Amino acid sequence: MSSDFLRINAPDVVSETIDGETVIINLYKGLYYNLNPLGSLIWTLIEAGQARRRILTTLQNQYATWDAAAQASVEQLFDRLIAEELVVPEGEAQEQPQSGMSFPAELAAPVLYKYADMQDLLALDPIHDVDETGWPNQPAEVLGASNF
Amino acid sequence: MITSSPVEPFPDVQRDLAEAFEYHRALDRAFERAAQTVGGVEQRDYSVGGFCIRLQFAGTALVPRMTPALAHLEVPAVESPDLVIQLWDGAATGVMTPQPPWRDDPYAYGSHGEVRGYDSDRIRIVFNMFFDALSLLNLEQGRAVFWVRDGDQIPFWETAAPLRILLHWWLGSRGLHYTHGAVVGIPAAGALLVGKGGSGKSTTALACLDSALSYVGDDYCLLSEPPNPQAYSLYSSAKLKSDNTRLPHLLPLVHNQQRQPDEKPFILLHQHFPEKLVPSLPLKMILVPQVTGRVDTEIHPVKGAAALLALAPSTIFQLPGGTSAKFKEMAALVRDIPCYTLALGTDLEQIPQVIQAALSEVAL
Repeated sequence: MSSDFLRINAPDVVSETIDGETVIINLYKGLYYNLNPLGSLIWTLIEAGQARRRILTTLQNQYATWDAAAQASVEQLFDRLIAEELVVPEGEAQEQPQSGMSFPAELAAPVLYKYADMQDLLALDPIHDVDETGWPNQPAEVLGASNF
Repeated sequence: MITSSPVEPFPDVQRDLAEAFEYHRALDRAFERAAQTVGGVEQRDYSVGGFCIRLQFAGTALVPRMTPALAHLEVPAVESPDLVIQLWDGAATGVMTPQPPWRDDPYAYGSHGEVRGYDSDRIRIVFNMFFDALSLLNLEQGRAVFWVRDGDQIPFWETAAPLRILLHWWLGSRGLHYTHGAVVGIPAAGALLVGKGGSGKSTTALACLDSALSYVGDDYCLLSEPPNPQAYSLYSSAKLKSDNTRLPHLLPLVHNQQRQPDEKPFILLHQHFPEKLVPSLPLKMILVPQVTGRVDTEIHPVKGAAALLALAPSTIFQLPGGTSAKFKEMAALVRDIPCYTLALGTDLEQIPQVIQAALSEVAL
């Protein structure tokens, strides 16, 4: 584990948790995601500034069925969130008080679902040549016109 | 489709807003020249979400391209419109725009063509690189500019949903939020149908034309903020699938009969179903259509996160200014009103019946 703390990659990444499930949007990349209930709980704990080891301990204390496979699935989620640049390792974090945490009744592996179908609505290449009138020359398909 | 990996975040851009206001003054002068060239100004007033928006055209070239989808909202001329948009066609008038002051900045444009550094509450500018159109919104003065290099290059989707970015920016500043979704309903309750293209949203809305349900909009609508959100009509256009095998009786009504192979056919509801269009409905439920392949249509409660997943990305990524605040507004909406999955059956007649029954329950 590199750094024990993670922080949400704001302002590019925004999220909302509703009824124990989290929807995440990367505004800059045009990608969006959702997390199942255990993934959502872990996301909420990251948001609250809890260290990775502390999150693992919290889950271990909560679930009688906790085992090495469960631990590996949570560590995989940490790695995936970092790889997707939804969170970034942080030297340290200010832990926020948490109250009324809602744990899923059953221990199931955390899952991050990823959607890339909106990405072509964004022009990802920011550099444009201009023509003699001062306006950019840009291939038409860049703006994803086929989506309209 | 462009799927290249994003580059490093753009360098921060600091711009002098005075430069943008000066550019607007230069555009004002260009509009006057364009109007003089083609013999004057054509003017139309529209009531959009309770606000009066005036379109002033230099000549008439752009009128048939920019107004048909708004015709159901046209009102007699008012004394003081809330927003005035001046429009002209460079090719038809021979008047181009002045050189933009940011022309030599390679990082000038954001992901939707918005000019970075002007995305303030005072003035905003966007350049549409698909059909070469400039939009400028001066929020301080309640005025805007739309210029297109050649009106003949305006694509069908701009005619079906004109001036989206200007209206999104300006109406958003007035608490009305541009939302990707269809709205149908009964007088006491409206249902917002959400989902990306191909989810069954438009087919569902069009299936309601042969029912007692009213129609607010097909692809986009305006929503006021919770509590008690209201859905307002914006465009009277309704897009059909290119093959349109499920609603063949609508094909003779298509507006763009002479279309390119990649164009979607669309109909203008105010021309053919004027009695179905209503200006607004109180929003009482969100429906997430899901094509099932079964015969019967059913409705089931769905978690708010699933509704947010169907609503937020397609709204946020289609328009510039996708922000944390915009996402929070949509989350507040799905928390405020009940959300359901609409499991669509193949018997189209059942669809409006199921929606009407559900709306009648929540309206009680």
